[in-house]
Amino acid sequence: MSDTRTPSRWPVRVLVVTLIGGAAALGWWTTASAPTEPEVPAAFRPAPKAPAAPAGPDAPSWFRNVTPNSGLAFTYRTGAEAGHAALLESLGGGVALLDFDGDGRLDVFLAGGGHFAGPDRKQITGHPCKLFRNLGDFQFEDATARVGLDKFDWWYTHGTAVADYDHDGWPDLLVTGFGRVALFHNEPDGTGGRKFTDVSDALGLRVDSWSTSAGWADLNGDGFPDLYVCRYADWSFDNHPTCPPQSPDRGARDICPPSLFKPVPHAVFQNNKGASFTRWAELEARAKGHGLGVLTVDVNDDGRPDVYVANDTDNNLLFLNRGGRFDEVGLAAGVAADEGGRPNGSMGIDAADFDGTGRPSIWVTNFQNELHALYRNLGNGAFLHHTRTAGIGILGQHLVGFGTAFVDGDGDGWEDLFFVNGHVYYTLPDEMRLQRPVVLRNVERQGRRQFVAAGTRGEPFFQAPTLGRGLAIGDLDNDGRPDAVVVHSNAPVVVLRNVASEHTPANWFGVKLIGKDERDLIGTTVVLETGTRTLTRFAKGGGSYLSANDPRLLFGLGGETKVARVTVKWSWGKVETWENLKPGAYWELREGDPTARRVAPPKK
Amino acid sequence: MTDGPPDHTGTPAPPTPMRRRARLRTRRALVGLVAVTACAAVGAHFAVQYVRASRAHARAHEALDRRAFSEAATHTEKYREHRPTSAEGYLLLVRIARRSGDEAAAQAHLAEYERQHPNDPARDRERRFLLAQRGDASEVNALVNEALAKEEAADPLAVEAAIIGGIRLLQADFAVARSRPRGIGAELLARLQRGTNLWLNTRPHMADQVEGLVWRGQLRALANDLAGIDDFRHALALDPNHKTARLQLASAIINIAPQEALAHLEHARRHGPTDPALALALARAYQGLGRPDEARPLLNEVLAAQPNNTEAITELATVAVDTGQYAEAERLLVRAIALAPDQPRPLFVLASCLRAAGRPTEARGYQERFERLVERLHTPATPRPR
Repeated sequence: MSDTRTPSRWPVRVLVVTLIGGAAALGWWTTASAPTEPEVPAAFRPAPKAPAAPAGPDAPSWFRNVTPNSGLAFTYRTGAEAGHAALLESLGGGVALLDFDGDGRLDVFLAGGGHFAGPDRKQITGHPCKLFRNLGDFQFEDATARVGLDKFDWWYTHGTAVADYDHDGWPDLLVTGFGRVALFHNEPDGTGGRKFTDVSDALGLRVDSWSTSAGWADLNGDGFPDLYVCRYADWSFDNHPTCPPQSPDRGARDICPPSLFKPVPHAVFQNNKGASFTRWAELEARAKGHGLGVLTVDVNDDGRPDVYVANDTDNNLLFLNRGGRFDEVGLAAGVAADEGGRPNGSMGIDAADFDGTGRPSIWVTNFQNELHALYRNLGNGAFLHHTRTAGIGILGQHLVGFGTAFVDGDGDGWEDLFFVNGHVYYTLPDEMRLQRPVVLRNVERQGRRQFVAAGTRGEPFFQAPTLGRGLAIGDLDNDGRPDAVVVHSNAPVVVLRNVASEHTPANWFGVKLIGKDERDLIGTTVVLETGTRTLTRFAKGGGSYLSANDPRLLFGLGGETKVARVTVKWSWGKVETWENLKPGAYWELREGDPTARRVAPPKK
Repeated sequence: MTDGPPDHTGTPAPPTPMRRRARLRTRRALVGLVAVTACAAVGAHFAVQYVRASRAHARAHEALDRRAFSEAATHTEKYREHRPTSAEGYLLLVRIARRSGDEAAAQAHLAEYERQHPNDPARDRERRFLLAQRGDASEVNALVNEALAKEEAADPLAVEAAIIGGIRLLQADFAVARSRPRGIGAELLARLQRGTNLWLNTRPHMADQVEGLVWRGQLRALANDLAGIDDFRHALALDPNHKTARLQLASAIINIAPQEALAHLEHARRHGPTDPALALALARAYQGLGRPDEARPLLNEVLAAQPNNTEAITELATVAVDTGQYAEAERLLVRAIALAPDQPRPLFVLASCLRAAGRPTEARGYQERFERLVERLHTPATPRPR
């Protein structure tokens, strides 16, 4: 068959093929490059469950609020109602636990705070302080008038500290605040009772600026307790700038930061054998910073009480006692600042052997956006910022911590942690301003001691945010379990009874130390051996925040049923031991007396 | 080739004039047809090119509108295949790079754009946006003021650049001052918050809503406003794959609910690409919660990818100090200090390490170096602002 195509037809075919091909290609290209199916909008996708916030251990609370019907009804007042937003209002008040009448029960002294009087409401005036006598079984009566404390023209008070400054065998009371401090001597009232007499002026104990926490200890080794008084800042109504609110919609002004005010050197007094007090100029020269907390305790096992000071926004201080001479070693020892070398806003303090090393590590509550600091005592004069390693970072940094204490809440022999919180600013949302108290349980994890949230089930106190400030720990019912008293700013004081024994029975052993001639005991270390465990406790002065704890030492023994040996390393160097003592009681260990005496329970 | 049919002898007969004319017409027609066909083919080619370019351009814009930046980049590349020197192509390249956060690439594209189209006003606008987004205070202020003046008629790209740059600016200030903005910073913060609300009210697309919520959360976080956490949570509910929302949420709650923050970081690590920054953040979270054994392998992973990352080296040294491995910590810290002699933290951690190792004299030396450095840098190691 011959080719019938004529030459004249092929260009037409080429054109047709070109056009058809082009169209097909265009169609294919259009199809091929069409957008893919749109993704399903995320809003319509099932949202994954947000990671749940960790629930605290659903264990029953160790403490129960027994304030209602206890007879202890009191509120520390700051004068906030005047609307000054004065720095003075931010500190709050403290509490002291002391057996002022020698009946064997811890009584409760509470600072009253103050307000602003006068036509311009700038006259800084005190609210009365109160003393509540412990009647037993968590019943209290107001004994303020009976002991003569109602007769004072109270100034704006903050803190309190307790010591037998004159070796008469009775605890005396120091009260700090704005414009003065006062030392009240505990003495017979002539009718078989006790009364407090202001001896400050007579003994030369004057501090006319703004004082906060105070701590007693025999710092010069003469047997009589000397006194360290923290001072805060040079605020007054003549130096009262207006600072902007934290949230503009919540007020026109707020508390100014302490860094706007100059710190005032702290006041340190040598006790001249109870007859007078003399300013300790050499120590005061180095005692600087916005001081809020002070703790006296032997941190380096040389038998002498050292002084640790918590400063707000300045480096904390550690004065090592070299036998009446002091070296400030805060930075060198690693206890002055946080893990980044920054000074923190430090408030409350305590020290304890939390890790079974026999050495006191230091615990400090700090401001918001900072970690509370656990400085682990490594034993060679060095401390390590141990907060994160101890698992305490889990708390976050939103808490403004104040009163605090190591406390063996469940009686297992390991020191747990308790601290109360609350912001200082007024113009924050309530969820930031009011804060819950925290109890952390000391547990073992992977061979390390760590702190985890302790159970709070069944106790509303631990669920209710407040403005916590002062905190004192003591065995108010002498059952061998540490109770607590919490002071709030402008809200009632709370008494917490330790009820851990209801669900975790544990043995315990209590120690009441008595030195010869009522010598001051701060700096003394007590080591208890059961045969399988060794527990160490420290006699401490000051501590917590503006508050004073039970001076007795408590050992939770867990399941241990015997106390094989108790060794007391007195702060003056002497070491004595007592053996085979029965748990479940307080024992009086007297210097030089080989026989320990069981302390009889208070009469009903 | 023959002109006519052959006769019986096989010799072609001479063409008649009529035939010759017909043949000539045919030839002319053929030539014409070929010419027309060629023209049509060329025309079709250009038409296809045009359609493709237009389509790519439209899709790039559409993807950019959805914040699908890699998709937008793909379409822009296609567009540029057809229009390699077009100003619009450069504009798209700059915009995509900038809006996706690759500001170095945006700068490079912008430079090329400027070279090719020196007088394009759109280029000047992009340059302003890039400056603002990088945190130039005057551009941030100018753009946010312009946007707030125009309210709903404001250019959303200007609002976006001002907010991103403003957040960057305020966060840099916060890192130094460690306190919420005051004075001029507080005013800028307030305007940026208004700008973010404007964005949220005028940009209903979900991707823009998510982004707006993340910005508002960051601004609220700078203002100490806990509502920022709700913004991050809302953004994350709308787009669970939004890595920035998740990481911002983790960062916002790390000091309030560190365990939840850790869970978010773990989620981000499980569901995202390996990222040294994320691994470092996760390691820090573990370390912060007292879990050094889990922090250590992550830090080693970071250092395998970035051997000179001094933050990771220092963090690993911190883990070593915390677990009593002082010699190892010292080795790491000496290296960190050599790599970054102007960073205070390694000096401080080394001082702590040597103190813990019972070498107080050497510790004191590093402590003093730390203090001198802090003083020189004027970092806020002195009073913490409250």
